Amino acid sequence: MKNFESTFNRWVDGDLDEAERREFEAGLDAETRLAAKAWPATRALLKETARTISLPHPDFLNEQIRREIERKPAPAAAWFPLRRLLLAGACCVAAAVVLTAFFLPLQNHAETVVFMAETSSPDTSASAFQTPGARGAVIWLEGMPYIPGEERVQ
Amino acid sequence: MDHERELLKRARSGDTEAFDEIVTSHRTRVYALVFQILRNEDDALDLTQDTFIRAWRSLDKFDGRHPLATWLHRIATNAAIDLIRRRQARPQCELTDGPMAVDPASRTTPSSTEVPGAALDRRDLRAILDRALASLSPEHRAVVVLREVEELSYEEIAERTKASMGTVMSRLFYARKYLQTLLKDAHEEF
Repeated sequence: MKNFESTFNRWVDGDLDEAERREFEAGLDAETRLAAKAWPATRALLKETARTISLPHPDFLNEQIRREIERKPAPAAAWFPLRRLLLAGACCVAAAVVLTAFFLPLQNHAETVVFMAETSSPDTSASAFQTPGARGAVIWLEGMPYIPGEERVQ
Repeated sequence: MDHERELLKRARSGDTEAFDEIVTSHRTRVYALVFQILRNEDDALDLTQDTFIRAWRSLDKFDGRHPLATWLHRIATNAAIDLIRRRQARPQCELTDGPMAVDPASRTTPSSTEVPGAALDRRDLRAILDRALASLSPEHRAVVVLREVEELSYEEIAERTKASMGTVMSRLFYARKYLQTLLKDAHEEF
């Protein structure tokens, strides 16, 4: 039946080739053939009917549409904030990456505490460094003529 | 067409005056299309308004490959089909996809007094066809209108109505047979 319906539609639309048309028409009753012949007239009438439909209160429709679209942001106005928002987001991420990369080494350095130490000799200076989390401190001595044996790092 | 392109360009940049001109150019055909499918003035007016508002919000998606009218009709048809589906509209007549649906003895067949032997004028014929269309279910009517008035291909109708090709063919077959049955007395007057 589905195949018949499909062929019927193609026949009404004039889409069958000559052989298909002859074969299909042979199986039709006279009434259906006659009715189908009148279909182009029905089709023309359908189009004509569509053209006679008039819109009631056309200017009121325009007014309603205008009111509605002016209440909502215009397409361009709606598009730009979204684009701007995306750009702003991307800039924030980029800035965060740059700042993190820049400040991270400084921050580590800043965590290192530097102590200055007085020495009895004016020719000798001493500095001590300690980084939190490190297991020891560094003592930097300058100007000492010698280091006693028991103080040397083994 | 160039004027329409210019209007579109202005409308895309937010010019509501330009869009108003577009509405004026297309409103009657959009309304006629929706009305033919739904056969309800209020619904058709609502959907016509809705069609233009949707179009305004999607102007940047219109690529201009097809005429603006085609794009607007597509939005309107989709809205009408969606409304039919949402309401799961019941056919106003018992036209189903079965052979019993096309009944020459149906009460809706124009009587001999409605179709007198005297030559019918075009207005009478249109009135008969109008009543015949109104007695179809919205689904069958949509297929007939899209095929015969909008001249869409079967594939396009299937896509718009979200139905299979088989369903489209079946609806078109029965709608055509049904209309022909109702109009058989008037055929002689064409």
